Amino acid sequence: MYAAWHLPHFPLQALHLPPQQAIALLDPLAPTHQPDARLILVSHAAQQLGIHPGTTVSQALARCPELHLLYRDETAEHTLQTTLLTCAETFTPDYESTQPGLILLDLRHLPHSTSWQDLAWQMHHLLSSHQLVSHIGLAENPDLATLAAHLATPILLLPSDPTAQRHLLGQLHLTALQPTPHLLQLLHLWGLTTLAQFTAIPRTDIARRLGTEGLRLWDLAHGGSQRLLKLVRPKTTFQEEVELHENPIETLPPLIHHLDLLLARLSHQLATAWLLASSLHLTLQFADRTAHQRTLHIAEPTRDSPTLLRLLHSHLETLSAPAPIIHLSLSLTPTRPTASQATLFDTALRDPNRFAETLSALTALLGPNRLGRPCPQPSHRPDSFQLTPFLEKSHLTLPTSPHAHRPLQRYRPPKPAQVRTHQNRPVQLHFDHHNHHLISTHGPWHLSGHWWDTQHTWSCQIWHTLTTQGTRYQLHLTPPQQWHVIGIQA
Amino acid sequence: MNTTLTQLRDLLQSKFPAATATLAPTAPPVSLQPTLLPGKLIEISSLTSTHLLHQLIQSNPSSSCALIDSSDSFDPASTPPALLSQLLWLRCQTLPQALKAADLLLRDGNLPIVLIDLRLQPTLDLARLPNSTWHRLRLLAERSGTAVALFTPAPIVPCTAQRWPAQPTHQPIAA
Repeated sequence: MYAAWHLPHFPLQALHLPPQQAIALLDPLAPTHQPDARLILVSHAAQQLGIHPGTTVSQALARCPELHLLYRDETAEHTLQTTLLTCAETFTPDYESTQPGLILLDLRHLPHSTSWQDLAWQMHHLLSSHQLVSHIGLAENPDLATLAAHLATPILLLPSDPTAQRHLLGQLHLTALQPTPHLLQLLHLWGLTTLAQFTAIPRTDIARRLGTEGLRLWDLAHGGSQRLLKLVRPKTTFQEEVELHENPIETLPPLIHHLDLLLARLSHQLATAWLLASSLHLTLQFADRTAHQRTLHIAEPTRDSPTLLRLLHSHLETLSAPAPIIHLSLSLTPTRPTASQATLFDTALRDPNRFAETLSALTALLGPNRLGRPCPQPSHRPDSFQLTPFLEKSHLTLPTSPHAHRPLQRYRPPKPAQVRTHQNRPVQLHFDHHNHHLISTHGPWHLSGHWWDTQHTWSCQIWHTLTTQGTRYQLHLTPPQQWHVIGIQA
Repeated sequence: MNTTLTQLRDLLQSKFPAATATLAPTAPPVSLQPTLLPGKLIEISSLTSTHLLHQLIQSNPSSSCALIDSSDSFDPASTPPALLSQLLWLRCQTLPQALKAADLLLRDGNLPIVLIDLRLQPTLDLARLPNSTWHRLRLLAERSGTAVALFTPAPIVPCTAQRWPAQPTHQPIAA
């Protein structure tokens, strides 16, 4: 048995407004104060005053000057849907959030201690306690339960006899099937308004005229099928915490001991859920009210606690705590075991997790932003690049710089130089206490950028030179007369 | 049997050059370009050998490669993007930092190629390093099977399998 909870006028119920008030909803994306904007939903009180969805704002206000015009509130709707799911969870662990305002519950595994009718009333009372107007339908399959909910006042237990089912559902309006607006308009033009009229047409004729969408609606109107629900499952967290107010930790060994215990527990939890850890999130709170937070990515997802502990150990070796640790929290991000395979000719890393540890040690040695995969930036500014993490997949598509036709060995920072010019071309170079006579010069190449930003605008000239010793230096001239040697071309 | 196998290998090599592009055999090859040797150190002594560095990165397109840049002088903008996608660049600031980084990477053994650029380091500083430094790197390379290329301003390293003066000639000098 399945139960369907249907909340009529769901966007209006989400706003928690009195039902006797004449209210109309507008699309939040529609331009404001537009007299020809159309109403998307109206309350029952407004319908009695002759206002219907699709009416323009000016027409609606002409008919009812007291009409309250409001915009749909997606946040409120999301909150209400969450409330519905929480309510559904009190009856069964297997439920589907079919659409906003429609929840399907699988009641097949419930102990049959109370009658279905009583259970439906219990559901209705629970929703009424949240100030919600609900229609509850119970039937043998999810599609029939949905149709029954549209017919319920406020509850309906659909009989199992097909003839009785057809008799009951036949009076339903076609909108209960939720056809596309175009198809609904077409069916209205054919003079069809109820399910009984629609199902009277042979299936083959519907298929010929309306295609697959028409067939889907026809099958739905005929009782639907025993489909599987897309069950809502609560998000599982893998987190452990330790309060250390009474015995604060001051050295690394006891901290490692605590982490070892936490990891053993978390790994066991992951194993029972058939999951692996893709990253670790460590939070340490110190006695001086400061905190240290760090997320460590795991190169190859694993739940092997010694591997995870080694990763934490290499990170903690580089950490200096300002005060004793009074709180420790460790959480793992779960992921499913990967089913991907490297390409045939790619050489994979022998031990990705060990390599991640080595990268962590190298980062500690060199400092942040000192290692990674170099990635040129989409700019002509000299020496513009960024480093991306090596273990992330590379997406390099940028071409090389047009002025860099020879490999360059850069001086970082560029070396200041004195240059003697003749007819605006460098002829002699002096830097690092050495004089160099230039036998050949090429350039200048004028480069500039960020001209729209007065603070970051830049411009320079690039010269390629060849000395009598055969060394090719690349020179850089910034206005007015600042010369730098930026590297050796080879 | 052997003939069929050789024919099959030739056919595979012609159809899938990327699959058969492996590191050079342990015996020093006779070629005009420096070649990486698995488990060995080679030394390229020249200030202007950046194009050789690019060639060595490109020599094994299916493998990742580490560049230990002792003076932070590598220029990504003048390097083909295809090479950058497989390159781990370590921007060191001092010589001891570079040697420590090389030690860590060779002990790890995950990357099959490690290039160490020491060209902008003062020759005197390199000459003052004890020989045990280079021998330790050689032993680590042997143990992990990593091909190591050292780019130095002058011939310094005593235990290289090959030494290349990149200019003016491209002939190897026996170590």
